[in-house]
Amino acid sequence: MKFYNIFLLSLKKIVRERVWSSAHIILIIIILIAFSTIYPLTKFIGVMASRYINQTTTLIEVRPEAQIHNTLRVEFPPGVPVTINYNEYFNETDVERIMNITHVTDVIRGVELHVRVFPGYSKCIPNKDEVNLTELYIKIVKAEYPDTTREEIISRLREVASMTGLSIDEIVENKLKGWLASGFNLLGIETDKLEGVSSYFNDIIDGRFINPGSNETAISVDKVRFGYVIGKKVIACNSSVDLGDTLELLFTNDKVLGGELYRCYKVELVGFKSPHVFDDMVVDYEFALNIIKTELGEGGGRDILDKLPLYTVLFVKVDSPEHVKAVAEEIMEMYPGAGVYFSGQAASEAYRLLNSIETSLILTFYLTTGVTISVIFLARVFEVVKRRREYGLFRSVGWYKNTIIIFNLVSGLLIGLLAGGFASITLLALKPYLIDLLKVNIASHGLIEYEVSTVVNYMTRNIPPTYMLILNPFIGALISVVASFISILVYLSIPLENALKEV
Amino acid sequence: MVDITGKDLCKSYDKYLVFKGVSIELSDGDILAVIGPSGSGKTTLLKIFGLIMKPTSGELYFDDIEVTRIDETRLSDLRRSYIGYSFQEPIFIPSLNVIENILIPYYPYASRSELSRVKENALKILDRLGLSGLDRRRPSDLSTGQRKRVDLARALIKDPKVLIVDEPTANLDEESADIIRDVIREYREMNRIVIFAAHRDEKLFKIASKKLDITKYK
Repeated sequence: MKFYNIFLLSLKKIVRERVWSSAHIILIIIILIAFSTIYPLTKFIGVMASRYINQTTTLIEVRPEAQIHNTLRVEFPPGVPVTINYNEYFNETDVERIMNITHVTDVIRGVELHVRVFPGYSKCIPNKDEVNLTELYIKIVKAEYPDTTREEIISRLREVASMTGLSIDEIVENKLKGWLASGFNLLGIETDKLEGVSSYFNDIIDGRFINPGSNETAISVDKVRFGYVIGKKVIACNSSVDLGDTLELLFTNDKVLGGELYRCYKVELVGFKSPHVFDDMVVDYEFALNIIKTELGEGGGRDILDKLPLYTVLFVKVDSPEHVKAVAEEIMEMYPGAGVYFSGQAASEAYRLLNSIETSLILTFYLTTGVTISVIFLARVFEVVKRRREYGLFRSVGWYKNTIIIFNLVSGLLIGLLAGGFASITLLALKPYLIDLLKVNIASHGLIEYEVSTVVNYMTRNIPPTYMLILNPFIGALISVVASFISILVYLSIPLENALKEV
Repeated sequence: MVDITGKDLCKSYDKYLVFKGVSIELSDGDILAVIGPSGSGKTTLLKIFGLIMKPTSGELYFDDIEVTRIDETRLSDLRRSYIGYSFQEPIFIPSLNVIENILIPYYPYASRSELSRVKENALKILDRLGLSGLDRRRPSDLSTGQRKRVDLARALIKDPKVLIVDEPTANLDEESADIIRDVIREYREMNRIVIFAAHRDEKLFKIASKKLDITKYK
């Protein structure tokens, strides 16, 4: 059999019967676009819903209360660049008590620090003269307040300039100095225990959460601002930090402010997360502990060192959502006044809403899948019915049935590939409009605004997903070929004499 | 060459009898005219000889092959290698032009060089049938007579051992009809079997070596 001739004949027919072929192809394009959008959407909503029911609702956050718990009576020595955020803390005995509560499966230990970063202005912007500070300032403000216009920012600067008598450049420089001479919160957490609950901490915008035991990785909360505050190299180069960047956290103390002495902690940035749960930079607990030990060791904080390990926050894992309330009550009884937070109700509301969205989307998904297959199938069946006499002619001149099947499959394959390819191109072109459409439809549920915005953020980047763009031609071709095969088999069961009759 | 033997051929649809007891032997150079009025069953008998339809009963032999008992693949082989069939109402692939329609039997099985050789032959046949210069036209752009001749050209392109032509001159102008009669005559001279159905064309009947009045087999 000469496949080349069959291919050429099919192609000629498709090209020359352009009205029919176009209608056929457009039909498949439309159906594939719907499929490519709804399929990943339903999949993601399903993942989101299960995350909320399985993870968020089984975790209790516990914070110590001053009056009844261990309290740090000794302040950090002056000049130490690291402070523990709270005077109250849990210790290992507390962890053991909580662990003994029925239905508690594990306790994740955490410590929150405030790190003072005084890198010194000149160190942060070594190429200060090359950087347009006003532009940098405008960029930072716009990142924080996207609705503010450039004109408004400049206008405000002018107002301040007229009131103070300083130049705009001087005002900008002072403001930048103020920002640079700030610090940030750091959450050290037992990352090796986060499996199954990491989503609680893990509103990842980009990148990933730190892996268990990752001592020199970190995840930041504020992508734009972070780059200005820390990292002398970064601010001078591109005004922002990016995944994979090695940040140099320059810890220094009052004694050496503006001087040459500072300690540099290098961390690789592995992810960005939204400031939804913790407005902190996250690192592994051991890494945070090491920072405390190092800085206090030099700063003379021996009293505190003796109390280590200490925990300013605990996350209690419960075996099931239905036991969360009872466990929380027992902890409150054990530590009256302690901050015990569990998002069971909110999570359950979010879950219910997501679940209803999921249910409707899954129904839509099945419907779309069914319609996709049916429409393509019917299009092919109609094609065979329409060409009944043509196939009869082929048989009458001596084409084997197998040859007719292959001819039909080649037509189906070409139509499917073309339609799938065009569907992918159309999806790419429609992507911005599609995202706008999805945002409008989904972001209207105010109750879980944050969760929904996470979904939308995800979708913005992933719908249509790349794999669907690649798969579309093959999905189109596969359904088209299968439909062609079935319909031609049915046709070939018709006696030749009937196939040649005019309808 | 080939011998065709029909023994007691019968065709009926449910209780409606089209014909029965048709027995005939055809060998090289025979021209069989199947005659009878419209709707008498001429086309049905031609389709049985053309291996498009099976008889309800009886036996049909191509040489010693009993064609009513062979499978579809062997039937396809026989259709391709023995038979050229021209329909009463020509069937075309509308999107293909005249020459491409004529080459349909060859597309799946001929190499590119064979295909171009057959194409040259097809152009000669078109020329012989008075259709020179129409090879690039679509069938829909042709007159009834031209379409009939293109259909005949597709039957002839295979240089068949058995040429079957259904109502070859019906509704044609005299010029077109003459051309077709000449071709059938030439085929007789080439010692091939020709079977045609007609009900009015006396000139055509005269070419026939055998006649079968289908009305006598009811």
